[in-house]
Amino acid sequence: MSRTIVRMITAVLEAQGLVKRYGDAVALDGVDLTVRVGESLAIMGASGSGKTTLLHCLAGIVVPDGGRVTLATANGRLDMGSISDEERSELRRTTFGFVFQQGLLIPELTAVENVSLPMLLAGASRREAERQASAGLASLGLEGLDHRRLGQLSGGQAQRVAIARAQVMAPAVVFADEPTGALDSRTSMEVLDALIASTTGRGRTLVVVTHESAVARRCDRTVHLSDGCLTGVDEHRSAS
Amino acid sequence: MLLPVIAFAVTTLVILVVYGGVAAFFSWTRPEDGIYQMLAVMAMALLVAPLLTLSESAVALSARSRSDRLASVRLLGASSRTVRRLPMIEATLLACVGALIGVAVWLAVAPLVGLIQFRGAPLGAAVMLAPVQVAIVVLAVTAVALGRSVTGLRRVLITPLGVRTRQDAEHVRKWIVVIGLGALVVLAQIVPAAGGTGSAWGVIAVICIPFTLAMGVLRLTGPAIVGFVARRQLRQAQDAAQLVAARTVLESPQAAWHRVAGVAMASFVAVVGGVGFALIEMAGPGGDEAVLAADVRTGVFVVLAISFVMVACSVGVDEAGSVLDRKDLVLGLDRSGTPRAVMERARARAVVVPLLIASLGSAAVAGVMLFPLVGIVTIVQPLTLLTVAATLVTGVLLVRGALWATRPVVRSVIRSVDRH
Repeated sequence: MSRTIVRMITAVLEAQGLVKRYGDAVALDGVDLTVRVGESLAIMGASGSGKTTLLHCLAGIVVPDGGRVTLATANGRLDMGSISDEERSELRRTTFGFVFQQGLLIPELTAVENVSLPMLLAGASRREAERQASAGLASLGLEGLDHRRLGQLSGGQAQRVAIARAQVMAPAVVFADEPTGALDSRTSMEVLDALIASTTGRGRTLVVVTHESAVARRCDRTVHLSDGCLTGVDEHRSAS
Repeated sequence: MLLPVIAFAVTTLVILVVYGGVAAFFSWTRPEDGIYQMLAVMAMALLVAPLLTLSESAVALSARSRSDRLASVRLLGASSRTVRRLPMIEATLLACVGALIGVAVWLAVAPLVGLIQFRGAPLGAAVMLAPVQVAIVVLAVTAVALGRSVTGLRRVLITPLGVRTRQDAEHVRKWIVVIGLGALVVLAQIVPAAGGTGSAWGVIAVICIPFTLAMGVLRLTGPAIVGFVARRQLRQAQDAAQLVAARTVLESPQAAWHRVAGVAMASFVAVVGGVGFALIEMAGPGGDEAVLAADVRTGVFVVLAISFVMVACSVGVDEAGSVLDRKDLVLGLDRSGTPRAVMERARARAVVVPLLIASLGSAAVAGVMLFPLVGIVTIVQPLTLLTVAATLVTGVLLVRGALWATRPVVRSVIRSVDRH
């Protein structure tokens, strides 16, 4: 089987020649990147290097000004720039999961209600959504905290609730933007362990934006970005 | 910055319009004009609640995000004096600019206000205020903003950690509802006596006292009723919008009620005033009494219209501020694929449900209190009550429209993208 076909089969996301501008500033300048099925990929770079823009392009949050991002689907590869805003939004809801630096849980909702939201949006019944959400929380070591509100959780617990929310729809890819950025070092490692175990540990793909080398070293692969260009790739574990 | 200025402008405009109308009434010197002046004072009293809510929304807009910043600064060791000065200056400046804009708009609309007819003739130039009166209003609005910013700051100075963390939702005491409903039942025994007096003066005089007491009861029981309904809706919620809306109201039923309390009072007045007007007409008044009856109807509709406009502005400003305050959360929800329509529906339900409780609930309470009289009026003068009902529905739609008008704020937040 040729290398191209092997790469296409194992690539869940493929970015080719990505260019993204904000006014006169060039955030991405011709980035090529393949995200493999089941791997954990760290995107590292200094502030302003384009790492969050790259994540936004891969996740379909923004459409690049040049190049394209394709997603492996049951019907072949889907060019994410060729679908509408609403279709990209649905893709993010059903196929991707997101973990943000601040968690961004809805503070008025309890932990189980926050985690159940994606399922409610997908049309599941409240009972079923909360049942699965509760199971998701328990799998991340948060059993008994279903009815706690955001203000009653520690930073690490809140971030694990966010991880549970990102995973409840069994997404193909989980995107995490500085998921440990607001946590102390010990809690960071606990949250990172939970994130990796619940994603790549279950065959899902994880893409992490980080400026912390300790976080990047825990991933299978790290790509380095500077001034919108890929400057290097570190393989921490074999891609076989 | 723009939103608080708009809110202060609308507050000032309403104060000047009402002040001008009341001043016009008090420029009349006939002995029989005393009843008009009494009704004008009552109308002013009814408009105090929505006016205070609107001015609080204006101050709260920048104060919310300012409180977080100030709490952080305080935790880092800044002195109380430092924390106190800057926000006071900001609130004063915003209020002053908004008030001056309100004055400019008032000068443009005052001729239209002068066209409203009382005593069979337009109010005319009597609604215009002297420059010193206008200056007093501008200073008062600015002073209220300054005062509110100080009281808001006191929480930051005392408990900066308390400002930064939000742990439990508000709890509303259920016994208040029981006491409130009991008081309304007692009042309901007093009011029907008004229908037997046979005179316009008697109807107005006997209704006023229990009405004022009923206002107080509504104010006490409103939050508990809103909380009760929201808890039921939480249990029954089956989709994301219903869940988020119910939890939003339950976060503070007091705040949810407070935002629409002005409508509660206005709706109560609409039913009471409408029934009173219909009773007077049924008594077949002539001369001055017929003119008074028509003027009571005009006054009721003016109060209703001003109340709903203020509540709509307050809701619009509050909601826009809330979206900007929670910009990161709105952005995060959009990025994780939450449809904008779901977020809009949740926001709308969190406002409209308390609004309907306030409006229709208060109208129903007034109807129960006036039960035998309402029945008679419905049969003999149905048009009056239908007009009141149509006005209430229009008011609710106006508030819904104000919510709809905040959608561009959500769109602008969602279109902003972090750049790293």
